[in-house]
Amino acid sequence: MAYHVRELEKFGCIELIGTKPRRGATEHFYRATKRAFFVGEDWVRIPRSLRESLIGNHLAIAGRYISEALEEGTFEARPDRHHSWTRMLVDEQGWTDSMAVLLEALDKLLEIQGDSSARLEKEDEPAIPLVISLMGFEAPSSQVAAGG
Amino acid sequence: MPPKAAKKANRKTADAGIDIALVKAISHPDRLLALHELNKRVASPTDLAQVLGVEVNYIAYHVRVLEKYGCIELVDTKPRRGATEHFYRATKRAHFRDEEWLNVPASLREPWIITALEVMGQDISNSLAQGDFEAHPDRHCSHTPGLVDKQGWGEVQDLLTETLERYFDIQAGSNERLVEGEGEAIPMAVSMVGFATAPSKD
Repeated sequence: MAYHVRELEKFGCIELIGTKPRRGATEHFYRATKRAFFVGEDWVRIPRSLRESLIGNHLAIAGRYISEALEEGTFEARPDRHHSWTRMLVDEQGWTDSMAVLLEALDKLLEIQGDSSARLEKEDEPAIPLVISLMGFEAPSSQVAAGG
Repeated sequence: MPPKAAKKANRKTADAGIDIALVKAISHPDRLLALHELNKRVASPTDLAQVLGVEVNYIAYHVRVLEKYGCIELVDTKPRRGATEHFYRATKRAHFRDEEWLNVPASLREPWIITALEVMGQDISNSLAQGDFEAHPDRHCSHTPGLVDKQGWGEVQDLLTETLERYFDIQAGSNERLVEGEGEAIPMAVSMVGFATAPSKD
């Protein structure tokens, strides 16, 4: 893992924020400076072969989180947790509006996380580890062939 | 008038604020898929069989179950090859509000979640395999683990529910334009999951 952390640092995705002596060695502490997320034009500029690999990694990680949360019972630990999967037929405007809604939701989620972090630093309240996964994509073309 | 099975299933649980007929109807992955499809458009078992890649007789059975539980209704019939083709539309969505979900028995909740996640995974895999996932460069795919306090958790869940309601509005607007013959239909899937993980994951 230390190797991968060095790679992240080399590519400017994380930064060293502190060190502590531990068992005769020095432990290094990092924080992220970038999020693993590409928007619109940034995404289009990435070579296709790399895009597919990034999507594969992303979905594998999301799947692992969901499986582990189901196994450990945390997925259903809070009854107001959210899970929705919606298939729809939209026109071009509907598609653009839907993508805008997702981006807006993601921005708001990051704001909520920032506000939560500020409160957690001040107050003695247990932190809730939360995962949000959002996806909006064109559904398999077999549906269109069938007259969808 | 709702079908008898739907009335019977809901009579026991009406006070608990839960649509048990819906829970039973969509406890099978193919019925869940069929209901999603019938929320998008009017279709016959033959249409559904093509979309889902299954036999017509098999899906016709599940369509009858959905009708029995009052999740779909017959809207049209047409003669086809000496028989009568039946066309249905959805009257319910496969989604529970928070207060409804709380009242779903735990024994039914877990299988439903697993079914729903399997169906979602199947949709993603098919879309990737057929190259549709990346067909629109502005498609969205984000995965955000984080730490929140109790207030933050509540805000996140409210935001996700609001976002889902906005989709339904967008879909309604799209339908109106498409019915008027404006533009082409894009089949789209939107998935949102927000849940707690074990502390060690973050």
